[in-house]
Amino acid sequence: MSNTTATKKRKAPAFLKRPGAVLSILWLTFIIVGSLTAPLWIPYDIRTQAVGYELQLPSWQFLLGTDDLGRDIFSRIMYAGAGTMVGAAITVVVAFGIGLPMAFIAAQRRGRVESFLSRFTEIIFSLPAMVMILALVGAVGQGNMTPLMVFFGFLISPAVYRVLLGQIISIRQRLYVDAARLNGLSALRINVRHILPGIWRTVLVQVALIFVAGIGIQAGLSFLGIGPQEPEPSWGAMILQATNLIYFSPWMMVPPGLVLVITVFAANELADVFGEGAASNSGVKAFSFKDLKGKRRAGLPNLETAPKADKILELNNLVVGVQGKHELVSNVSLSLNHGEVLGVVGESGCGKTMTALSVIGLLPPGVAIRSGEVKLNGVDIADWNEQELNTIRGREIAYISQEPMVALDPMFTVSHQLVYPLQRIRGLNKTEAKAEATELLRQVGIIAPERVMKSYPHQLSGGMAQRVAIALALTGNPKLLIADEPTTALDVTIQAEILDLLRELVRSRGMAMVVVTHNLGVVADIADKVAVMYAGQVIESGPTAEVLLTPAHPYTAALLGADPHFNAGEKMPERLTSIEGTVPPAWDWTPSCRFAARCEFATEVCKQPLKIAPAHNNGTVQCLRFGELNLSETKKN
Amino acid sequence: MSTTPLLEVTGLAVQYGTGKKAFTAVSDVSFTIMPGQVVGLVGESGSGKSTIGKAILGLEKVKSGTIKFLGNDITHDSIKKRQKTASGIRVVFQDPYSSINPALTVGETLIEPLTVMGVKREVALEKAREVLGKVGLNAEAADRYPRNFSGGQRQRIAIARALIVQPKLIVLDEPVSALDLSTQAQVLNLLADLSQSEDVGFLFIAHDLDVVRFLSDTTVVLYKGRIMEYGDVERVVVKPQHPYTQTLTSAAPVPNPHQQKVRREHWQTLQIANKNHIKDEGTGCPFVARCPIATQLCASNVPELRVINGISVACHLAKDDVPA
Repeated sequence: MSNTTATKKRKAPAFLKRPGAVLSILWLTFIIVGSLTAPLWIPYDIRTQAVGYELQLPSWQFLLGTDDLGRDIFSRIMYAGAGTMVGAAITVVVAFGIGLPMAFIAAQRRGRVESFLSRFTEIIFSLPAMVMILALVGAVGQGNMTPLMVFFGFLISPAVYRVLLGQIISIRQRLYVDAARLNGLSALRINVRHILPGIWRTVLVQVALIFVAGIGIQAGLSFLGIGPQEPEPSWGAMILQATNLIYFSPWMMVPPGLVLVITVFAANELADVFGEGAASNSGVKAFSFKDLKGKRRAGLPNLETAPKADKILELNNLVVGVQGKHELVSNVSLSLNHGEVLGVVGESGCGKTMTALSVIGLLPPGVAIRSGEVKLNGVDIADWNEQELNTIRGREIAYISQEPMVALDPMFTVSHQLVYPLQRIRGLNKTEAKAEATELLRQVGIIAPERVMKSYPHQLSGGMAQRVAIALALTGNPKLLIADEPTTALDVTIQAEILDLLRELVRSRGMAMVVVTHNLGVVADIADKVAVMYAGQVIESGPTAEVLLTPAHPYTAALLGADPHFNAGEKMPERLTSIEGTVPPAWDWTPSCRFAARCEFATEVCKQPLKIAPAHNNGTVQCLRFGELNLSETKKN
Repeated sequence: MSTTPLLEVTGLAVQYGTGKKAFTAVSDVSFTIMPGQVVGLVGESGSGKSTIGKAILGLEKVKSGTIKFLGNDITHDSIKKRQKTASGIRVVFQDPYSSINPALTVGETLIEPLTVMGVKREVALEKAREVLGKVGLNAEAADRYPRNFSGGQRQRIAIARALIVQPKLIVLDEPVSALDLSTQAQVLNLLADLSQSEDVGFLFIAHDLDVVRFLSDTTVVLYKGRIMEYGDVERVVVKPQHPYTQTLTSAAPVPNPHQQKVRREHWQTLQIANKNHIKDEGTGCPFVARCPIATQLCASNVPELRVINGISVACHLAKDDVPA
């Protein structure tokens, strides 16, 4: 409940959900505040020797016991903490004071300045820090920690420089930095206003890590006897002292050791938490042919030997949703005959990709089919698990995406990637698989397949990579190909080539295909049937020519009017049809017409629950005013 | 009446890298933009269209040629110097997500160029509210963060940022490519309205000929950094003279299935004709290897721009129609 009120105002930082992070913050606050104020509250002076109470174990009188001179260990630890914290803070300040400006300058100037600074930092980095500091001790004398920590900050500044340089360069490449430059902002203002906010998480991580390094080096120096001199305590010196007495009083080692370890852990944990926020997770599950294990549930229908159903694919009242939350696909019904091409068209956020992914069981984590049927060749696969789906993926049904590089593993040659599934799925031996792979590449229109076989994915152009991804999808002789925006990332001439290829493959292999696209022209080019999706629903479906030439739903008509390609060869209109507003987000979807708010024909009627009506030849329309509207007339105006 | 051109680009060449690794991204590109005119720069990836935009903005070094803004040579002016010499040139980038700093309110983003010029904050914010209205957003949008806006709305914000200084020329670098069809139409309509109502010229960079046709008066078709065809947009798109432009138009699918069938067949004839192609030796027309009608002449000589049927065409084989 407190959760919901928090999200209403402002989301609580995610790290507060991590118990480790909360404990770390509490511990560090205690150590920093406690040690800095130590002289005000510690129960004993650090010099006070309780005669007769040497080497005590913890008691109410001495919380953490006493050392060999009868001094209170708790008081000494807290007192020593102040020096340690200040020393570590000096390291952090110096390291950032040098590293950060250097990183900004290098990122801004690039070229020679960057390579000079990078070489310079490499030289500093390669110096043996401990040896350098010990040499400095000779000059400044023992017990004088400040110059040592300043020097250590200098020695560690390359770490700051290196980590931040990459980040700053990548942010500088964002367009808003270009925009600010063109607006005439000074370099300093660009750095402060536009770049710092983008790197502060990384800065925090580095602060925590360098802080830890600062604590560590001080403990090390004190352990060597170089730190604060007796009777001034330091954590390292206390550990050294305990080491000498380890056989008489093993306890003495515990308090300073634990405090040091917990402090280092806590700072590291914080670095981790900050770092998690800095790195982003796409969370998309990539499908790999290596997942194909091929064990099937007993009694599961074998799709390869099953009698051929009329329809290769049939979706009945499919509902897909985010677990415990809103729907993403509402009540979608579609069907597809063998050898047919279905275009699923719509704007982003309308559920067309989710519909396609549910067919092959590749919905992202947290998203699942809630109800309805997904019939592949007459068999409902909606409730099949991962293992069962793997028996049909690649064999019955294959998938290509907008980004062909996702399907291709950058580490392996094209040959390797094609041969492996051919061996696994088709049971060919290596030589046969190689020959078949070459043949597949030829079929997808690659002129020099032998050369491409030896290439790595990054050596291929976008169009070539999509051809290879299509060849990969064909390795299992699928009967249904799901193509999710297969040409969206490509230039228009390459798009035309890929569409030609897909058309030819459908024809020669008798394969059926679902093409998901936002491009009405692609639908007109390749699809026999089309389903227009809006806000998770199929608002209109039917034969392509009928839907596109005589649209029955106002959204389809408006979409056509908004397309500047619509008037090819005719006069270009002064204005395109404008659909005001945007697609409503999934959590705002209603049982009544979801397009009504943007529809120029909407009336009171449209607030009633939707009905699916038959339209076109074997098609559907979801509009309560269907029949009253003459959309082909309005379109001409 | 002779007006000074807003922008005059002459013989522009841009080169990436030096020595053996040098790659010529743009060569010998010339065009002009008159006040209030919209010029479309169209081509596929690698055509150099965005590079030309960057060169005009001063984001890319020019190897040779000149760029004149209102008659002043700004070719080699640094971005700093351009605050004086070319402050009338503004830009709208393709990606409405990375072009707006998510950490600043919309108002802060909008007033940035004004505060640099020394305008008072309150005055600038008032101006920001006004310009938000011009691009079809509420004045309250100024107090909100970019994350509250959709892609189309963000692109309106980016347009508002360009408009706020009352520029003479706006470089639109693929401003609608990242948008969905219905929002794309909204932004295209907005740009069309602005080109009518505001006294501003546009350099409209795009990869889609029909989108260019909707917004532009004149278009420049680029291939591998060279101009293939240059002229009145209706003539170029409806009756292209250059084989490359013909390839482009026949490749772009249209939503009318009957028209598309005709386009598709035309595309396929061009592809088949291209099978007996002439080798590209790097000495002639850049399109020679993909050209359906290329001859040996095209492989050896770079074609100059010539006026054919009222438009400039860089093709040895383009011919004037015989007047009927």
